[in-house]
Amino acid sequence: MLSRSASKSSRYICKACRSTINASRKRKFGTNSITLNPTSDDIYDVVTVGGGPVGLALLAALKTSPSTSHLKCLLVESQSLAKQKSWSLPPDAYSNRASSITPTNQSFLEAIEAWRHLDLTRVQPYDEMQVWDAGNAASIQFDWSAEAIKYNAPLRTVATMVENSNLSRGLLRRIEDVGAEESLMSGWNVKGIGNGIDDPEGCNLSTWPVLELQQIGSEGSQNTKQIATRLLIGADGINSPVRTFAGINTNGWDYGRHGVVATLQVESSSDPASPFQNSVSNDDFDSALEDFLSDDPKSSSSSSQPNFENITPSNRATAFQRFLPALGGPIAILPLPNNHASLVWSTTPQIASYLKSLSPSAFTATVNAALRLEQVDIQYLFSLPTTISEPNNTTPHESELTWRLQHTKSTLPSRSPPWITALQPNTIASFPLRLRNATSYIAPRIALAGDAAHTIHPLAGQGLNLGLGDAECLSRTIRYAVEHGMDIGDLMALQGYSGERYAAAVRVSTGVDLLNKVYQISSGDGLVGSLLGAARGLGMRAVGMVPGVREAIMRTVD
Amino acid sequence: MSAMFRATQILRADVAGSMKSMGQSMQNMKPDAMKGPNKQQDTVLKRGARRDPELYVLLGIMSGAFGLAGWYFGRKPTSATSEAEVSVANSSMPWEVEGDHDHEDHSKHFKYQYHPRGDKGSTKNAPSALNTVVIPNVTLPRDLRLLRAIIRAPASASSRTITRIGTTTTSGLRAPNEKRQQTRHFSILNRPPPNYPGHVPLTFIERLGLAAGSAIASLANPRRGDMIAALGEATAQPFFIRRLKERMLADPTGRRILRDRPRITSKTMSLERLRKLPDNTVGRTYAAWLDREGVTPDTRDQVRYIDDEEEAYVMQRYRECHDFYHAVTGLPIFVEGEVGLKAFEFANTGLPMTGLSLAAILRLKPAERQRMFETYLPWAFSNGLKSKDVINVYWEEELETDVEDLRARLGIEQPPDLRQTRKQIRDAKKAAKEAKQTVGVDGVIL
Repeated sequence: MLSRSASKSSRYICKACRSTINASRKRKFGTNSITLNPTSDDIYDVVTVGGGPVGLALLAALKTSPSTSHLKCLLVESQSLAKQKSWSLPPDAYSNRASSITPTNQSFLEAIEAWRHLDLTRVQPYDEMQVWDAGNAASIQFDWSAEAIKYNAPLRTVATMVENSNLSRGLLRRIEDVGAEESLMSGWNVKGIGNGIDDPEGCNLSTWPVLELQQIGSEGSQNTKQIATRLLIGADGINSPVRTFAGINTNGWDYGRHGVVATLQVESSSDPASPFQNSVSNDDFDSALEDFLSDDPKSSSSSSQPNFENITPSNRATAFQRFLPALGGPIAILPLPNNHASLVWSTTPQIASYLKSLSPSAFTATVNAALRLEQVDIQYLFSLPTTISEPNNTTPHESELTWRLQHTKSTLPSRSPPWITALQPNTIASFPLRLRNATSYIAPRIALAGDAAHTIHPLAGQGLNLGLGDAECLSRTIRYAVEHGMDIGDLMALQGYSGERYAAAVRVSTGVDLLNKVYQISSGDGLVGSLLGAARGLGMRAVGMVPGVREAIMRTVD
Repeated sequence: MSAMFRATQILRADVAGSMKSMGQSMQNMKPDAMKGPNKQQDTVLKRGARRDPELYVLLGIMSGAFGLAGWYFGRKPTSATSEAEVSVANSSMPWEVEGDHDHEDHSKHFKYQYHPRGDKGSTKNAPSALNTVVIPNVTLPRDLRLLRAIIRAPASASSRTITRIGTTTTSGLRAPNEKRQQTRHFSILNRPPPNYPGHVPLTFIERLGLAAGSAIASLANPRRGDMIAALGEATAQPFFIRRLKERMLADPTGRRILRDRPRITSKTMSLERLRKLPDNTVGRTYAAWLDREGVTPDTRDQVRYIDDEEEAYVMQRYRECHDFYHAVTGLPIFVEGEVGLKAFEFANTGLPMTGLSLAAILRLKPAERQRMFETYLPWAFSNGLKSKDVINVYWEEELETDVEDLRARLGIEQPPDLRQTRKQIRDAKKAAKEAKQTVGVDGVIL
């Protein structure tokens, strides 16, 4: 009788509940079983694993908003956050990991009041991006000048270059400001994640994720903790343990390319990075202006009305990107204050290791060559020995560059890239480029944000921006759930986050991946290669000339 | 005219009659019945159309009328000054009115006025907010000096129209950033300056004409070296010569050649010195070949029609080294040997002129053609494709190396000696002919 009723009742468990019950038996990471006996101190509302800019921004956002500031939050990071907080560099040295933050994310950081804690003398807003191709003579310029001229307004910022450490430090300062330092657990490693047990006298934590943390530097089980959480957020990078625990797979591939980063010093040009510090005033222009504003028109009325409409507003700084299809990927020079720039060069692993082995003067000559010379010349530079230097102490790279510059037809864009003068020592580094997208960004009581959810090619500088967008959306979702009395870890509450961010991330990552593929089809020299180069040039010119396409592209990554 | 009219009177009466009867039969609405009597009328109609002179006059008048209408509507629909023809009343745009210093008569004040610097004594018209932008007291970027041209030029009526504000012309957007040099349209009346001494810039059509003309001339007379040279220069741009230059740039020796820019003339290649070199060196073979064929290094034309200066040097180098290729492969100077060498060069350098020269095979005798297809073309293509680039050989440094050594390094096999083959065949033929003749005289073999 009992068994029959039991079997009968089992038919009335709906599929979703049954799957959760089964799922809780399957989900595990790194541990065989967790016998949880947490005290009430160790049960949290939101635990974020990962103390990068995305995790910190999320914590700051939760603590800023009055609806969610009461939540018991924790952020677990294996590296020392105190070191991040005390990061400081002299004004003429810049970190080699810098990202460009879009205006939307800048507004988000201003809304959580973290922006003012950044060192704003070290950020560089730029309002123009010049893109051109080594395989043809086309170039395109991304800026909001059409709008600026139409409304007679200053140029709108395209993006702002911020060092990642500057951003993390600003966020940590904000977290301290809002009194949430005890939510930071730095120097702790996540040893394993599992599910809790159903304590008959206490809580039923069988569907709650439980983390087993171990303090770094201590062997044995002295400094371990177990914490349970209502919602576990994985902001822990591309090999996210939280994602593995959730059983979420990823799709994607390795590009087989490395991104070489460095900090460079550039020659100051006549358009420095300040709005009004521009060049020599034009006396003739001034006198024409005087004529116009004076009371008595000299000749007929028509000649005293000069046409001022076509003034382009003065430019603050420009980012440059040149596609090098035969050499593995684009080279980008992103502006930093005080005549510095950040280099991001996506190229093959062999070329990346060659670049890292070059002396500073050879490296700067190679970067200058990569911005100006033909691909065959740049390819030749990579075959030169790295240690021999000619008499009068010039490297062979520099002499090759000088010679070839005389014979290279200029295919530079309308605003030419700056001349690199020096390399900041010890800033050359490289990282592998990969494309990853998790099949789902949410699971019961799990949410993924940042690189744990998606990793993209750095070609458009959108990786961190997507992560910050995730943080903003997730904080908004949690706020909505709290304000409406929902369980913040419930899948239904998290659906809003997934719906909003999944499509956005896939759109950007697919777009960037396709663009990368288009610019990788070059097939070296040969008739087909040059025809493809001409086709790409036509495409680039079409995007530049058809009105509105440029603005549409910029709006998607705004 | 009137005579013709009278002559056709009968026809027109016929036509009129048939029209009437057709009209009547139409009323009956019997389609089958229409066929019978109207068949005759059809032919009459057709004949009438052919012969009736009125129709020609009508045709002329109608075509004239439509042609006139088409010309009138089809000529420039709008011109730059089409606005100027619109007559505008004087006071229709009161904000444009200038110079009304009559401060008392307030009815004439259509513009906003203000007292400059607060001085109540004087008033000034405020600039129009609609179509002027005033940015006083800023230092503008150097780029905007171009605007001086706009300011200085007499402002036409169109520059002050209201519609200017809404439209953002892309040319205006780009003007300050555009490159400074103004590229005027390249035409035969407006040639750009030469890039190197002897340079003759050609328009596209001129190049096309040169290519076609020199191709025909060199096919007609393969001895015209200057025509072959012109064909090479006309067809090498823009892609093939650039590719050859890039092949040179990719190779370390090629780059050295491009840096040093050596030239091969009788002054730089002293033949006396070369003749003194040991027998199996490159220099000796080259000198021997020059002597055998009776040519000097000075017989090569200067490059004139290639626009880029470095590419012109590459072409010149290719031309000057052509004799070295002869020396290394051993192919002789007559048409058959030249064609064989051109095939080798086509496979090796990719210049289109070398490929086009293979059309000269049509001019060969049947025996020569057979030799070409059997032996020399297969040799040329297989060796040209698999060997290293001959353009990257620094000949001035290779003068004393062993020829076999150089061939092995480049990966070139030597083809059968054409001169010897032909001599052997000629001798065999002569012997056979003599044998036949001696037989023929007596009928007895001597």
